[in-house]
Amino acid sequence: MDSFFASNRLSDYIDGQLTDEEAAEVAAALDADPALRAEHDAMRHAVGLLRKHGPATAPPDLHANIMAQVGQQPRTGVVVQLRDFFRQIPLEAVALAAAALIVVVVLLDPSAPTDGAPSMVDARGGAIGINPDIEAAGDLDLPTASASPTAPAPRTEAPPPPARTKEAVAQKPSLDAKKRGITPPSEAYVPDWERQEQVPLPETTGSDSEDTKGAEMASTADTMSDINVTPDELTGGVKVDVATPYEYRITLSDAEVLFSLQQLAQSAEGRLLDSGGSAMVARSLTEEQNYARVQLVVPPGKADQVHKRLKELGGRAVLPTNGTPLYGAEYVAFVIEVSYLP
Amino acid sequence: MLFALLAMAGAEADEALVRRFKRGDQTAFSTLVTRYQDRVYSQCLRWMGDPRIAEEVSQDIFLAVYRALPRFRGEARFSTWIFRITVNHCKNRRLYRKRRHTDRHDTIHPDPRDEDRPVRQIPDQGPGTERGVEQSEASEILHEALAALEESQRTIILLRDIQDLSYDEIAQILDLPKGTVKSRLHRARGELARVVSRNLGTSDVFD
Repeated sequence: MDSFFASNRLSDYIDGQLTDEEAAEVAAALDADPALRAEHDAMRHAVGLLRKHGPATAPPDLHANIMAQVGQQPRTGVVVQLRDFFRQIPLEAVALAAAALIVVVVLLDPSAPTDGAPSMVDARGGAIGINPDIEAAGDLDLPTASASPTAPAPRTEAPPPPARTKEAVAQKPSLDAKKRGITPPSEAYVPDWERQEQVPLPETTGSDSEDTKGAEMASTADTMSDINVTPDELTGGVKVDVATPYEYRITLSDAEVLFSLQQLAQSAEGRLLDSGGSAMVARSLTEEQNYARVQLVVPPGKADQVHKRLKELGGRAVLPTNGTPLYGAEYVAFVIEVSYLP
Repeated sequence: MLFALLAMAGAEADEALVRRFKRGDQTAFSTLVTRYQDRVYSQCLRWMGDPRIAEEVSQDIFLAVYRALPRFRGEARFSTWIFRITVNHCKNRRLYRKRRHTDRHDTIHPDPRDEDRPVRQIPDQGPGTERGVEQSEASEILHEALAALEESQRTIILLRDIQDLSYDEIAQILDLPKGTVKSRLHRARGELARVVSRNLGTSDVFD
């Protein structure tokens, strides 16, 4: 071993970290190289000095001072063990639980609109253009169920927020307008299909409801525009007055309400459809799936029967839409929001 | 051999004390303080260079140990764990003092590596020079020599030559490969020897 390699091993040599063979080689190099020997002696001297004079004795009052400070700390034991237990819970689990809690709070709070799920207040007042003051009033008188500009709209049970609809996005009143109690004009949004097929409303008929239906009520027809059934299939070709508002939005609170609605549809010779217009199979509502938006489409002659039955089920009319039929002039469609509120 | 056995017994006792402490036995912590206060204080003193600051930092360290001990899982030896806390506290305090320009190493003493600084006129007595130097003066020389080292070098040399920790323990405390510990220790000792030799007026074998 030459002096260079031996020099690089002096520290290990001093600590006794070399193998016997390596130590012998370093020792031989030290004997052969006086400069290396001097380097080794100086290092050993410095290390010896450090080991001899490095350790110090703590001040006599250090222990007492430490224990005095410790005495001011919270006691250990059961409390600490409980704290440690909670600290051992993974942060991801805490974050997941917090996120789930937020979702639950949002879903259960109908007065808290969110981007993804507007509250019923927004869905009704915003999308349909209902005045909050009107919304706060009592039930409408079914089945005529039309409203004057100042007529109060019924207050309904607040269901969980439905999926955000196009009209909710398009016609949601601005914050400023809400503050001033101004209801945006219903004509602010007109679906494409309405522009193409809208039937002119008749002149004043002497009825308050008919006077105001077109002006005050925003259509929810765009939510029905993709229904792919023809009026004849639904009504058997029965003709109805296009000026008469036949659509109602009704909220019910019953876990089995969809079965009742399906029976009602059958008894009224109509159909139960989901919000997309597809035939719907009734199901029970649960705490997790506690909301549904359905359409009950019946012949006009069955409308009174349906109104009566819906009221018996606990439903209340929220708002009649304008008189523009959804499927033409030969049927009556009820838009029904049902929710299960255990 | 006896020291190794005592050290092993001490390590086991440390774990038992930690368990007692976790069960709420405050006297167990007092025993740990008694057992480690000199070593922690020595590390702080040789790092900070100021007995008053070293005492303050030592108190802070044991307070931190007290607070963190319930979370100590015993995956490392208690001695390794407490020296890791000690090293971190010393580094933090040094940074704090440097920002406030109150570091004794930087303000009171001239750089021991400065070639123009006055050399102590102590006759060279060979490897046994420390025998002829008064205890306080030896301690002062040592302090100046340590202050001349880089922090990484000083940390390693203190853990090895004052705390008598193994290479593996030092590697664990500093989170370094064992080879890095060896090489840094070698350079630190060489630098320390250079500064000590110059301060003692002995022949400089490194020039």
